[in-house]
Amino acid sequence: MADGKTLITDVDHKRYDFRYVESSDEYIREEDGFTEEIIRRISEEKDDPEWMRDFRLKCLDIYNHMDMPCWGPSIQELDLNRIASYVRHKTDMKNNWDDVPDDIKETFEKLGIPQAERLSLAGVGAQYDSEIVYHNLKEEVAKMGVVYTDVETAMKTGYEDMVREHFMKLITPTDHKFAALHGAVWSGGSFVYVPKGVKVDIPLQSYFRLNAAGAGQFEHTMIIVDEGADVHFIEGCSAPKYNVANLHAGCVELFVRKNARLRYSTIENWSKNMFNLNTKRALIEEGGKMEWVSGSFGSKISYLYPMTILKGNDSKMTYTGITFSGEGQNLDTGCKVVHAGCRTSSVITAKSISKSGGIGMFRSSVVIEKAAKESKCSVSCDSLMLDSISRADTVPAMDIKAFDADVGHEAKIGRISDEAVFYLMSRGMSEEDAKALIVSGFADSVSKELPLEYAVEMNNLIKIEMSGHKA
Amino acid sequence: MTDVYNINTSPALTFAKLGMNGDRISVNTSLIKKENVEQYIFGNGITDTDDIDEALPGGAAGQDIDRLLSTESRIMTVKGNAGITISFSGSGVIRRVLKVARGVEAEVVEVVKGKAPDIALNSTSYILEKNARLKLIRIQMLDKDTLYVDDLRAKLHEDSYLEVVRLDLGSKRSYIASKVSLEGKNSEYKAHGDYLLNGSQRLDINMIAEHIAPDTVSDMRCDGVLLDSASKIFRGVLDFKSGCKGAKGAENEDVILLSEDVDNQSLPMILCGEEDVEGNHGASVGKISDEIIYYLMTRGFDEEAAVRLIIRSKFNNITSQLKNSDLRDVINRQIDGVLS
Amino acid sequence: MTNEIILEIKDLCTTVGEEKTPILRNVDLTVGRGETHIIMGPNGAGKSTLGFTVMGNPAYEIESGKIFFEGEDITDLSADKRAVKGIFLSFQNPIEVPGISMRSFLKSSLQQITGKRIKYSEFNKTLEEALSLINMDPSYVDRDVNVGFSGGEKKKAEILQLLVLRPKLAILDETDSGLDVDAVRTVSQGIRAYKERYGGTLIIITHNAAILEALDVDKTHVLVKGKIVETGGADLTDEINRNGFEKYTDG
Repeated sequence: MADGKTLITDVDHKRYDFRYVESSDEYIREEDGFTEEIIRRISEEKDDPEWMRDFRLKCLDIYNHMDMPCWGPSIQELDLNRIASYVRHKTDMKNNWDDVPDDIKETFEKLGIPQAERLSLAGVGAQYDSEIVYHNLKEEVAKMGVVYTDVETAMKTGYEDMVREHFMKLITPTDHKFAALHGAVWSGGSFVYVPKGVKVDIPLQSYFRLNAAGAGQFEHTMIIVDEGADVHFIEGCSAPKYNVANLHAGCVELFVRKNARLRYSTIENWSKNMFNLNTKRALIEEGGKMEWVSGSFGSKISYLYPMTILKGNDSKMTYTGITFSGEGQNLDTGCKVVHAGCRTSSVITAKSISKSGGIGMFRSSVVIEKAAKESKCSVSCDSLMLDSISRADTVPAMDIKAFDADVGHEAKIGRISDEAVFYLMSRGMSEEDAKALIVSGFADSVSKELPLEYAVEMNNLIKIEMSGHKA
Repeated sequence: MTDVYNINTSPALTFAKLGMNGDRISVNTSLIKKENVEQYIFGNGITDTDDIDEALPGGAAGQDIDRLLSTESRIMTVKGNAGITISFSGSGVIRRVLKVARGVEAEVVEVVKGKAPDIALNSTSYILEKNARLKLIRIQMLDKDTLYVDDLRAKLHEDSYLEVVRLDLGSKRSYIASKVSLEGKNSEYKAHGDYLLNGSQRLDINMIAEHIAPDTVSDMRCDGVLLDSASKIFRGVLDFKSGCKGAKGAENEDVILLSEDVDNQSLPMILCGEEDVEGNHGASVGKISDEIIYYLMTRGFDEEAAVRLIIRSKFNNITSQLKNSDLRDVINRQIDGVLS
Repeated sequence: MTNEIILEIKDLCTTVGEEKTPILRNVDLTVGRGETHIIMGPNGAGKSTLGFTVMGNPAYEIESGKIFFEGEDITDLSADKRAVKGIFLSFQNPIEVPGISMRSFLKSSLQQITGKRIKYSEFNKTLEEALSLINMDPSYVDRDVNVGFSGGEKKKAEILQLLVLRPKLAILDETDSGLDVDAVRTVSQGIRAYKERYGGTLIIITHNAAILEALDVDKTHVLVKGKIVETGGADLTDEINRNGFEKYTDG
């Protein structure tokens, strides 16, 4: 099975773990914690319009009055008074890699971002700590009217009304404590607008790197795909490992208009000191289609459940996700969907792998409103347990109020079959390779949804996890 | 004294906003009277005893409900087939422990009836000793203004087998809390519950199979039909504890919705801390499949008759297991009454 | 000799699914009472669709054309009304109905179709006669409808229903597929009994000549890509069995 070995190539374990220590004179770093003075300073630094400053302050107030979520993994270890809300290099956003400061440029080169841009992307955004340091969109795509920048720039370049109309309208600050926190301190992220009927053939990608220890990343992603348009957006994230807690509380708000399609792919590999409390939500109008592809490998604790509201008649959603929980990780992932329009459909396919004491929880919610006549939903969830010190839990909730709904649900839990391992070993494979191959096969339904380079990356991550990550 | 009690809290929580993590009931404890509940035992398969020397399992209804279980348990031994009728005539609590002795094979048919608008609480613990086999059929046909709490617990020793067949037709609001601990190696548990809810009936289920010992097997199935503005929540848990090597568990749900105003909630969970297990769950919710209706129509049934036939046949699976034809007829009449 | 027309399909076009994929294209077919018609054609030609459309399956949309049964327009009738009129479809994949025995299912089906209450003694006689015609073990009728039946048993059970319900027109959709030689013989015995004893009319959808050996075929129709491309007598069946459909599908 020489092919198997080339499929899972050797990788540098340190690929995500290198780091540059920021020197105090090159970086601006806010003091730890979240206070009104800090929020005002961030707002001033960003030269926010007044409504945005007021919104931030309102969010801070909501944050101060809200309780922590009561149903998920414990986040007691996360001391919010010891998180820096804002860290940035004293450079502006560039559209040429040569202009990006050396330490940051090298970071992204090691992560393969400029190379990928040359090869296969229509546009790239790169965020380092709190700010976007690089943004570029291929000229021919820009000519079609596609806008791809960060939210701050969008507000200053003629899209303020559009931002104001959509900003935190899907994920409201009262949704949960970390949504409120995000509203107060958000910084960076992506703004994408695809005009009516425009189909972007190759993906756009934003990459988020949190380099500073004890800091938070609060990027805001807003994508509006206008009627009949089509785009694929890829989000990647990573961070080096520290001994102190880092926090990621981004928000992603996606608007898919009539007959439009959006594919949103994420490969998340935060370091294992990260609290990843991210919120993603999409609103789909008539005939629109939302496709989520999600691979979760990193972080210490994750709360991640992309939510789709199928508002328009005949709108559709698919979610394909995989989560790999290793030593010291408690990854609580899944998805949510609300069927509100008639004849809406959703297909949820989730895979979970638990190993070396990792805890994987698949948590989902499917709501079919009374008005969502003739809607369909199917949920399938597979968990693989690689040893008996790990956990794999499945908690799928369904609330069906439409009597002519068609809802199917399946879940399976099990282990790698000894026979399969033996079969591969009898063909000359080591046990470790055999298991890695089987796990890659298990993950195949997700990797085949990814562009080739990312599928390879995902297989690399599986290989790293299977051999025991040396942090 | 009216107090509020948490009931059927989910062993694993889902998003709080869904409101599916558990319920609360208000109970006026001063109305609870011993004479409001009677138990009749038929046949000579069950005798009273006083020997109970092992810890009883905790219940799925939750610790709050345990506070209501102030009465003494009646302790009995099951040595053979028997029938039990439990009849409520006002707020009442009945608490029983039934031990199925080593090697005994028995079938117990329990019928719960009567009326208790504030609360009818039936708490039963079954202990199956080594090699014991019990088939428990429980038919609930309480009056339609009753609040019913059915707290069933079972502890399975080595090589024992418990089959629970239940049919829930009556009461206004009912809570089924069921927790079966598979503590003995090679023990097996099978449950098949059916319900038929109409009007504004509500059913709240919290069903747990706890796999503790190796090579234990569980298979839970919960099917039902919702009409009018009835609502139901099903929480089912396969809980594989670390060490239950070779365990297998399955849970399945099949719900037919027949009215625009029903609400059906499901939370089928698998909790797993052991590698060497197989767990499966499946659920299907919706109307009866078009293919089946069409097949029946080609054989001359109009659509309504086809639906009725399918629902009747669903309940036949349960009622056909009753040997007592009088009871079977009473149940069939009740089902026909709801469907017509 | 020309028989009285029992079924007449005129210029029938059907589609399936949200995408309205066309299946049947302008199909005309006339069947006389007591006749036996064979529908042959390659996979995906629309043979099953033809059966389903005559039996009123709502999954198939009639875009244009009409279906007449005994001179009456039944194009818009639901499947149960067609069953009452005397049309029967034997399914390729019969549906399982757990919780109801074949015996009580058949009895209520017969009552629905005839609109009469039937006495147990009378029904049991009919049932026993049907069982013996196809050598079927009587214990089958006390099992739930099709539940746990093998493929062959399901097909035999469909023929059992045919012999109990005794419709005026029976459409048999691949009743012979997946059967071993003995089972094919039993099933064709049942079909012959239906024709000879009860004067039945048959439309048989098949790939296989074996089932036809004991029957006098009146007409053979070749269905390709939703169109009847040729109609002939019994000899056309033999020819297709020798040469296949190539001459219709090429080009």
